[in-house]
Amino acid sequence: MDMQNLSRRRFLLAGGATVSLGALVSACGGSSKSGIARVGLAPDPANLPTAEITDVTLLRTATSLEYNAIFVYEAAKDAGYLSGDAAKLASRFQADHKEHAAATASLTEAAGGQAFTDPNPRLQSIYVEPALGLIAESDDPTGDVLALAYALETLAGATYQFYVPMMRDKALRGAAMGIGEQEVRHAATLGAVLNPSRLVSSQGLAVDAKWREEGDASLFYAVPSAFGTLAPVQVTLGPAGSRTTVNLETPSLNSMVYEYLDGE
Amino acid sequence: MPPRRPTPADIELLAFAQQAELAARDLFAAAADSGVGGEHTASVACIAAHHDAASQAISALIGRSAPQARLDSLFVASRNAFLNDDSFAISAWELENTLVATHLSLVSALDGTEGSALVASIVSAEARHAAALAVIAGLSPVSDADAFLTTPADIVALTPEA
Repeated sequence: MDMQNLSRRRFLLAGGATVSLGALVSACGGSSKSGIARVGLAPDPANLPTAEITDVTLLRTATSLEYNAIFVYEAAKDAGYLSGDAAKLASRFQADHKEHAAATASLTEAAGGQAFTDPNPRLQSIYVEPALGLIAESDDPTGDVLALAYALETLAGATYQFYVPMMRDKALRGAAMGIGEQEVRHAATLGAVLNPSRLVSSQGLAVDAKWREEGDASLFYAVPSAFGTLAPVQVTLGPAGSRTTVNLETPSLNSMVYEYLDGE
Repeated sequence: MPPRRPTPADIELLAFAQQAELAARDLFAAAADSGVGGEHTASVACIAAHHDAASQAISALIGRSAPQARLDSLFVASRNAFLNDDSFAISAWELENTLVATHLSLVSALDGTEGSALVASIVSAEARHAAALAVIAGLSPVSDADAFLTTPADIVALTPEA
């Protein structure tokens, strides 16, 4: 409303309505200690704890992701999805993740925190369990497990990369990325197995036309881009006719393993 | 809180990193032009483009402090091996592992978070390069797994004094 056009009569009417509404609200408010009137009674809201993202939080979250990966490889082994060289690769990758989990747990304790030694609960429920459910129904469980592994390894590498600038301790940044670069090597090795004819994507690169790929981009490359990407990682799984694409994202605020969650 | 922008000490380290990236770009570009890499020459050309992108990203971060010149000692030391089909893949694999080690040491040394984030993203790509080059070298991801998955213990990070 334009104040310059507000007549005195309208001003008085508006003021009267405001006073009347205020009186009504005050009458219904009861004995609120806050001094703010309200209708009815409701329990005081519980305040959420302060969730500060510390180096310990980041290290615990990284450890939890290692346990997600360990879980997936174990589940694939138990289900008999992999054999031969694929099983050997998976076994090696799982052993690496166990080493990484031990390393990040040790770093957590060195930073004054309590190590976390379980899979990330949120990622387990929104990514891992649905993905394994789809693979159980798949016509090609071996191919789907390798695709999921490629996505998870890419996600693990991206998580360490994402956390580097969030860490206050410079030495921890280097230690974290030292693990992250091993995760992306897992992904690259799987990419080479899944798409052996084209190791490095030309998508988005200023290269001569003779070096470009023909046709659509693959979901799998040993090297998909010029930089480590933090974009969501897509993986398509499940039975023919109802293949489902799952988007995996790096653990962010709502999936970090804060210390205050211990014991909940 | 750590600083966001590169400190003067960071700028020196990032300038050195750019020189190393430009040397790698020129080595891979020369290799692709000479046709090494067998069926994977196109991937070799793309790796050259990745190193060029890395050098440009560093330049964007440190501006006029970027040297815009390759680390010539690295280029000269590796050039012949990069132009020979028999030695290319292993030499290139060694170079990528060297760059990973070099940049990892930078991630631990940089104060500014923008620099550490950028170098971490370059490490991610170059670790993948190493695995891809292990394929081109004819190594097996199963029986030669370490060549794909780890930086060899004898790889020495480049330093500005080297």
